[in-house]
Amino acid sequence: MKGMFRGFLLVLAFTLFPVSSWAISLVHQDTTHAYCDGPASSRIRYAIIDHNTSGDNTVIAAVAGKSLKVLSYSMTATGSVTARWESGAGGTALSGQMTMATGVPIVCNGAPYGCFQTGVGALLNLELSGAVSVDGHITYVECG
Amino acid sequence: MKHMLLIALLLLAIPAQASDLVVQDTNHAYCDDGSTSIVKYVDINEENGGDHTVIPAVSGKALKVLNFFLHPSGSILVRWESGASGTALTGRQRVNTSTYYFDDCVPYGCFQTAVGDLLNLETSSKDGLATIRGHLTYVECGSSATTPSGGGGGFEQGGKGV
Repeated sequence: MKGMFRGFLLVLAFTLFPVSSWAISLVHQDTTHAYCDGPASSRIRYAIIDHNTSGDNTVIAAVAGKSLKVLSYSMTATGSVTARWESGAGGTALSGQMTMATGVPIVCNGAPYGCFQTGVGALLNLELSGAVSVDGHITYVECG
Repeated sequence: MKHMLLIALLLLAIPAQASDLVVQDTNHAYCDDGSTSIVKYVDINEENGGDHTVIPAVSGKALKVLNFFLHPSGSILVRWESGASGTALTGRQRVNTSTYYFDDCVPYGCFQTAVGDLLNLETSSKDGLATIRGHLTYVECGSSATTPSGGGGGFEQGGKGV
């Protein structure tokens, strides 16, 4: 009985406090992939924001069966304009109509969780209130 | 005696849990080929319009930008490019006089040059001669990364306006 008790204590000690956990460990985060809503991860992609059309502007083309999760973006405008991110052209709003002042950046670093996400199969649209040049870049993943 | 040893072992093990520490290696960032590369920094100190080499080309390496900070002395248009007068990595962005433009894309990165290309900052001043100061954080990535035109097994430049 005593032997069993000793054995139990030993197993308990090394299960709860394994020797390997006593060391300081250094981890590397895989920054070439980001998680989607499920357990799958997807490769990081980059795109340019370079648009000047009043109304709808396709920033990322639709991908069949995929939603587009935006991890970060930054953009500036050459004039005063409002900008709204949408899922699909003239589609569901992903942001409010944000007022952009000339030469003042709008930056979203939503990593690692993301800024917003389109519907499945929908393009990422940037709706502009006027024909003003809006430029920048975007980091995203295709999910689904 | 054996019981005492076991109890002593437990007492030793419990405080050790408090020193258990997982530290993210912030000296390195991942590249697309799964390797890690040491994080590097460079200053930005450019005058006049045109092409400015912010990071010289490194043979067999792509340059992945993790963040940058720009502070122009006048209203200016800036565009990041892969190579001098090369492939656009951003649109031409208007940045106002004395605006503090900090673009933080950690941990995934803002954009990446093609393998073997320098990182170019194209500027054109709207208010006469303007200086642009700042700094940039980046990593040099191995040869398995692909060009910004996309495809292949490396990083991918997607979207429409490329």
